[in-house]
Amino acid sequence: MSIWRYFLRRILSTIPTIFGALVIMFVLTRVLPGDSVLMVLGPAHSSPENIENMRKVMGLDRPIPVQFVRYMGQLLKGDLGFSWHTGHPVSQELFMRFPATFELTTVSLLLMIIFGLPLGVIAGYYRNKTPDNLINGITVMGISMPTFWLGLLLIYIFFYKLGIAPPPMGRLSSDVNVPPTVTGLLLMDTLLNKDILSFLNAIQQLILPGITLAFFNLAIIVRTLKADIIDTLSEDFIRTARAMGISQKRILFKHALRNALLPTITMLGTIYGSLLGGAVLTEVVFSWPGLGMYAVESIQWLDYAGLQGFIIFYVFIFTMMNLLVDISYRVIDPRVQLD
Amino acid sequence: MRNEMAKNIKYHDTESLGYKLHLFIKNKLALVGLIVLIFIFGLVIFGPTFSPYDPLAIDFSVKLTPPSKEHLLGTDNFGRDLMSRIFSGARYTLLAAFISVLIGLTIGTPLGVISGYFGKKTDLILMRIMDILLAFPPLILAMAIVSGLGPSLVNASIAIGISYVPHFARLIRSRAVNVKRMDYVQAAISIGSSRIRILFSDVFPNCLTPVIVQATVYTGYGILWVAGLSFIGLGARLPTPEWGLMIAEGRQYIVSGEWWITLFPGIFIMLGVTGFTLIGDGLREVLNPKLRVQ
Repeated sequence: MSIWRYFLRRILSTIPTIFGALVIMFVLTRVLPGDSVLMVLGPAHSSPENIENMRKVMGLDRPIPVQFVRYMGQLLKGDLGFSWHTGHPVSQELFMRFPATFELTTVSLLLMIIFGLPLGVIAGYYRNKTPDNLINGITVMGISMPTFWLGLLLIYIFFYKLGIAPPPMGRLSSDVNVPPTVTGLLLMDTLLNKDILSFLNAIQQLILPGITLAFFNLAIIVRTLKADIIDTLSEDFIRTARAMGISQKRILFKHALRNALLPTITMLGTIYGSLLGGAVLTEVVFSWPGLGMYAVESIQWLDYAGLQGFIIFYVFIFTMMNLLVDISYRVIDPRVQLD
Repeated sequence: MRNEMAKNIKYHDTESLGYKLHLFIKNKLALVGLIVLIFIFGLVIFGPTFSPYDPLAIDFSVKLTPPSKEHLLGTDNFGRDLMSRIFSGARYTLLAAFISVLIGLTIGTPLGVISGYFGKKTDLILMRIMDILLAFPPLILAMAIVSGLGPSLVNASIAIGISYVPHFARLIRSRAVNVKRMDYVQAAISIGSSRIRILFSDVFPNCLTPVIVQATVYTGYGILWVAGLSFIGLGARLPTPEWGLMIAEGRQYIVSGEWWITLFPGIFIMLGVTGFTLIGDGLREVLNPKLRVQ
C-alpha cells in the first residue's frame, strides 16, 4: 500500500468516529430521561402550556429520526445552537474562548518538553538507581494527585504565602491594560501593542496553571521516554559510540535521545490534542476563561447547547490531532507498518 | 542474578501461589500499597465509627478552625470537623470508583471476549464502536453522560464506568485473540466442545490476568475522576462529605489562607490512588512472568 493510500484511508477513518460521536451526543441529550425543556424553562415557568410551546419551538415534538436529520443539518452549517447563558451563538463563544485554552495548553506542552525529556533520559540511564527512583516517585505523585488540588495548593503557596504569583483570576490582572484583540493570544497581542507590562503580567498569569496542567502529564512523558531510552541504550550503535570514546553525555542526549524520541513525540501529540479541547479542571481552578471553563459554566447554568457544542468541538479537535500524529509518525519513521 | 536463580530453585514451581506471594511481599512498593489500601478499606467500612464528630453537624462557633487538639484536621466554613468528614466520606468516593470499574468490567469484558473470539464482522463492528467511545476522554464523556442523566454521585460513577468500557474491551480482545490460538483451545475444538463452552471455560478465564491488573489501576483513576466530577458540580451533592466536593468547598478559602479544608481531602485522594497504582504494578509483576527477572 502506498503512503498516499494510507493517508487517505486514515483521513477517511475519522469520519465514522466523528459521526459516531455526534450520534452518541444526540442520543445522550434527546433520548435519555432528563427533560431539556424543563431545564430551559426552569421550575417557575413550567406550566403545561409553556412546556408544550417550548417543545414545539425546540422541535422536540417531531419524531426522533426527523430531529436527528435536523440536528445534523444544523451542525453541517456550523450551527451549534444558541448559548442562552451568555447570549451568543455557541460557535462564536467557542471561537472567542479557544485562544485562551490554546495559549495555556501550549505553554504547558513546552513545560512538559523542557522537564520531561531530561527527566526521562536520566531515569532511563540510572535505571533502578537513586535518580530513577526519585524521578519515579515524583511522577507517581503527579498521576496520583488531583489536578485541581495541585492547582489550589500552588495558589496557596505562591499567591497567599509567598505573594509572588498574581491572583488566580483569569489571563490578565485587573490593573494592567487589556490589548486590542488581534490574535486572541495575549502573549502576542500585548507584544503587538508594545505593552511590556501587560506582556509580563500575561506570562505571570500563565505560569501556575501551566505547571498544574503539565505536572499530571509529565509522568506519562517520562515513563514513555524512559522505556525507550532503556531499549535504545542496549543497541549496537550505542555500544559502538561508547567504543569510539564519545562522551556519556553526548551519547545520551544526542544518540540515544534522538532514536528513542519517536514514541514520546506521539505521546506529546496525543496529550496536546486532549488538552487543546479544554483543560476543564485546571481552567476552573484558575478561572481561566477558556473552553473548559465555558463547559463548566454551561453545566452550572443548565445551558445544554453550550455543553454539547463544547463536547462536539472537543471530539473534533481530539480526533484531528490524533490524525495528525498518526500521519506525521508515518512520515518521520517509514519503518512503521502500514496495516 | 545468582540470587534470583537461587530463589527460582527454591521455588520449583514459579507459577505456584507461594512463589507469587513471595514476589509480591518482596516488592516493597506493592507492600506499601497494600498497607495504604488496608487503611483506606478500613475507612470505607469503619469510617463513621472512627469519626470523632458527626460529619454533618454544623457548629458556627468553631468555623474555620485550623488543625488543633479538638479538631485534628481543623474545621470547614460550617464548623464541621474535617477528620470526621474525610473518614465518613471515604465510602462515597471509593464506592463510586468501585461501581465505575464494575460497570466497565461487566460491559467491557464480554464485549472484548466476544470480539476477540468470534473475530470477523462482529469484531469489526464492536471495535469500531469502542473506537468512537475512545474519542471521548473520560472526563468529557462523563460530562456528556451526566448532562443527560443529571448530576449525582451514582450517575457520575455510571458515566465513568461507561468511559471505561472501551478500555477493558480492547484489552480483553487483544488477549482473547492470542488465547484463541493456544493449543488447549485447539484441543478443545478437536474433542468437539461447543464454541460457547470453549468461550466460557477456556478463553474467558485465560483472559482475566491483565484485567485484574487494569481493574486495580482503574479503581485508582476512578477515585480521581469521581473527585474531579464532584469538584465541577457533576458528582456528589452538598452536603455529602465526598472528597472532591470537599476540595471544591475549600477552594474559596485557599486565597484567604485557610489551607486545611483543601489540603487534607486531597491527601486522602492521593493515598487512595497511590495505593491502587502500587498494588496494580505489583500484581502486574507477579502475574506476568516476563516482567519478573530483569
